[in-house]
Amino acid sequence: MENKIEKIIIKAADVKIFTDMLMEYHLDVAGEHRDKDGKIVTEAYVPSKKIDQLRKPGIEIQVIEDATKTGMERQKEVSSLNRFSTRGQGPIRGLGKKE
Amino acid sequence: MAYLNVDEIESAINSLANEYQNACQVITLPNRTTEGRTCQALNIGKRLDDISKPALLFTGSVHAREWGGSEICVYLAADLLEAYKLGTGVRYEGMNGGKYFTPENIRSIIDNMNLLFFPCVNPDGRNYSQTVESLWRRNRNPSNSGGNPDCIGVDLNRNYDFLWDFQKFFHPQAPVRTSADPCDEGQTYRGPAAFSEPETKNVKWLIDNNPTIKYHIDIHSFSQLILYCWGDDQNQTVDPEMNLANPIYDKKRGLGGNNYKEYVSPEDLSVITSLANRMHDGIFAVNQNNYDVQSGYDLYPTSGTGQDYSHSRHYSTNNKIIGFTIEFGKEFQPPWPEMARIVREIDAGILEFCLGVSSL
Repeated sequence: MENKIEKIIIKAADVKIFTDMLMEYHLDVAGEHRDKDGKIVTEAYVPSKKIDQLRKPGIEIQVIEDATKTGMERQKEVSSLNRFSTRGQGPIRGLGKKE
Repeated sequence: MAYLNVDEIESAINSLANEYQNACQVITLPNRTTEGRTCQALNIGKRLDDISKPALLFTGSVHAREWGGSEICVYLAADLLEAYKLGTGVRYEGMNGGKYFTPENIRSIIDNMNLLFFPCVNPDGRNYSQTVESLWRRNRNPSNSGGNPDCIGVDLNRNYDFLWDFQKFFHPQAPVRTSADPCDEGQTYRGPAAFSEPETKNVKWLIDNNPTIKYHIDIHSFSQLILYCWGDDQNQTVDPEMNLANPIYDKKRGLGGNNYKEYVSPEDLSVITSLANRMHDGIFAVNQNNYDVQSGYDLYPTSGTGQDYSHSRHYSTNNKIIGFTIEFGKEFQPPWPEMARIVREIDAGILEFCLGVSSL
């Protein structure tokens, strides 16, 4: 698929390398933290054709998932009904147990 | 079970308002979205204008792809209202029995505060994410796209009036995560002006019209974090003049060094960390997931966020709102059974937070 988005893990040796990369490529990132070696680790959602551009000294890239495919699978888990629109059927109920 | 679609969020809110008329009210927001949707909030409590009771604002699904924020709000509202009517407690099942809130806990929350849920701030974006591009983050306003479909939309959590004009307020080298480019691939376009978007105007309207709001929790994903102010720079508690409203510090913010740190009073910081830790403990009790508590800046520097906007309003009004952001889970859209587990733990965290507020 031409516009396929991959979910990748980026590990950067230090903050400067990481921020320089973000400023240059304007990546769609989430879940930033430091690992036990002090590296900056984040997940990013990147077009597959762009991934090779990110591979540079001080940067490790690991492709972990076809995010486009996963997203389409999750869309199947969205209700296609309107489960709470009928009068008399009672309200939506929460996920906690009442006791 | 399945994720709620946009129509179901609205009908779920209305089903609760119809069933529990004595304990909640629907609030219709004044600004329709670009695609013409009307947004609704639900207040749980007796009277929002009762100044003796604090109100807590919860906003969900500001970012389109972070679907579970709406479910966290709607299912918590449903739990509270049903338990209040039945006179029961609520148990969020998980490891080691989960977390139990007694009938007295539930009564004290509903009787002593107002809980204002705005479950789906960005319904146009959510609908697009749920039916077309699952990773869509912004709203669906095409005004600044120049006809390019990839450039549609504004990142609503960069559109609030908190240091929105980052080129004016931040150091030129600050790696602030916002953009003036509608086509920014990081999906962080801030919009053409602060509060340019109907969705953020609706949040502002809720806050403007309900001065009893004292706390705001903005529900996002992901990273398993509880964030508190500030997001523009590191916090400091010693120099009240070094603050976001002081223009002598323009172009110095966002580097994390000693030239600028954002002021938070020691009293506020004590309350903030106490409540954030209560929320952490409530979350942990369900599935033993250990959410880190940190300032927004510790994640990365930002401008225009809802959490910081709420908290910054005390510089222009007499009303102080303590703002938080939850980053739930480990992915934007976990499979529904996993999302249901997350809903239970976050709802437990929020109820524990409410009990913390009532004990202040």
